[in-house]
Amino acid sequence: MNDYLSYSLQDLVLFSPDVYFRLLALYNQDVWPVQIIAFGFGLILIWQSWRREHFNDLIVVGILALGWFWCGSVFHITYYATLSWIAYYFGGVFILQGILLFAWSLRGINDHSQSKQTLTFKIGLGLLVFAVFIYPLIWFLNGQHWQTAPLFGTFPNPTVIATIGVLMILRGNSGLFIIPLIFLILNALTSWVVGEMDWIILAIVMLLSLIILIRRWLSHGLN
Amino acid sequence: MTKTAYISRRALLKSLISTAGLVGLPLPASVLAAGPYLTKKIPKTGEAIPVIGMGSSITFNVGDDVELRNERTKVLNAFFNMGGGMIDSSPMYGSSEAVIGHGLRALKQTPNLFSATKVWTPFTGSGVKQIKHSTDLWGVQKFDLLQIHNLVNWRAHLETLQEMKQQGAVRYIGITTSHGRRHGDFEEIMKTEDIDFVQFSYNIQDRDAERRLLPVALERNLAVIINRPFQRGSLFSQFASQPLPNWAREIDCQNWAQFLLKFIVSHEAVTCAIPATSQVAHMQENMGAALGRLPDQTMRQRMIDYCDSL
Repeated sequence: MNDYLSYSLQDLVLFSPDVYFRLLALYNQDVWPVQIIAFGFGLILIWQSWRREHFNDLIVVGILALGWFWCGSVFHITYYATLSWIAYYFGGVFILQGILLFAWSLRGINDHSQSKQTLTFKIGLGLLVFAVFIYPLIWFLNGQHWQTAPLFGTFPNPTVIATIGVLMILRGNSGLFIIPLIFLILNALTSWVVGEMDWIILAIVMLLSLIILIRRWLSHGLN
Repeated sequence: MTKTAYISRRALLKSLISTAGLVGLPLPASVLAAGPYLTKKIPKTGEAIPVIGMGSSITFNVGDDVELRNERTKVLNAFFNMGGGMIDSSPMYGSSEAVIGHGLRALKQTPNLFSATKVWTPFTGSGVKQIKHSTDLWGVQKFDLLQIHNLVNWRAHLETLQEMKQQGAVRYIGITTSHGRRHGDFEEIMKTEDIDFVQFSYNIQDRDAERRLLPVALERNLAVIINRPFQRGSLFSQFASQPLPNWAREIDCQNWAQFLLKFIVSHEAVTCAIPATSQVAHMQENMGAALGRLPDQTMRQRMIDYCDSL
């Protein structure tokens, strides 16, 4: 293990930005029109979360689980792994989070009590809307080609952000935050090292998640 | 490589040789073991290899992208056309080994190839399997050089590599590190173990290796490969906007790449440097460092002083 700890984050970025963006463009091209279906799922998530008293656990969390499965098996293991061996590990962890979410949804969440007026609900819904609409837009406005746009359900970052949003709305099991938060930390650090500005977005999401978790812990204890 | 570029290379050679002749400056016979390109000898066998090789970290990791793979094949072609020999890679570098293999198969004739890769796994049992996989990816019969990457599980892998060498399954074995990592352990292995090559970082700005590793390599008759000769490109960021000094012509440097590389390979303990690039033009610049004169000790100090002053 000590051998691996001697690597800096920069040592683990094994490809040039140009090559990475080409991979994203090729990936988007190859999986088309899955993005449209994923975007539709994103809209369902927002709609279901808005009418939180009546939403269907299986649909909401099932959609998220599907996004994690897809990002793990297709984005990470099939595509990203052609550039980085780390992607195999990310892929495995994404699939694991998909399984955990799916199991949670089958078990029944039974907590639809959160008022729309609470700060947690507002932040959660805000993150969800941000992940589905604004995150890919920022990418585009940041000068990246539209073909590389990271869309919810097919790319890790917006899928992770949307998941955190839904977990906040649902008062989700705190344990389900662990993998998304670890991924955000690693991804934010990597983006920072390579000079990509989206580390700021990821850091803000991380901070919001931690604030919500600490608030919850202070008021109810971790569940 | 295009016909025009080939002619241009010949023209460059002619011009360098005639210039040297005109001003009465001999090409350094001490480092010229064969041909017009500078070579140095592997201390333990006397085999000569070109002083400029090629690294493949990041630059050759292009995945399955066919267009980029074909572009890298052109880089390889330029490398061999300009007298290149050693290509260094590692299973750690993503698809780099597969992309090198793609290029070698496309080029077919690569008689000067000196294939070097690494074993990089914490699991003893996986070492041999990993080497076999690398052999398949490159499409070579066997590697010229196998190294233990960053000393990962080095005791177990060294045993494997020594056995492979005894059986003739590899010609040379060695160890690597980069960026100053674990120099203490590295030096100890250099002093005590039976290896042929060492690879570490050294450049005009990071000269830490001059204190311990390079002298030990000389003492132990080890061939030395230098990685990160441009400090991951940061030396270009610092110096590229500054003019090359006029006296750089005295050592046949036409650009910063050649200036920085000639500084490295002129150290008596260094066998070759392995700059990495994804562009044919940069490969041509790098390989130019294997032509003409190398700096002597006085000139090396002048190069250091100049860079320090920038």
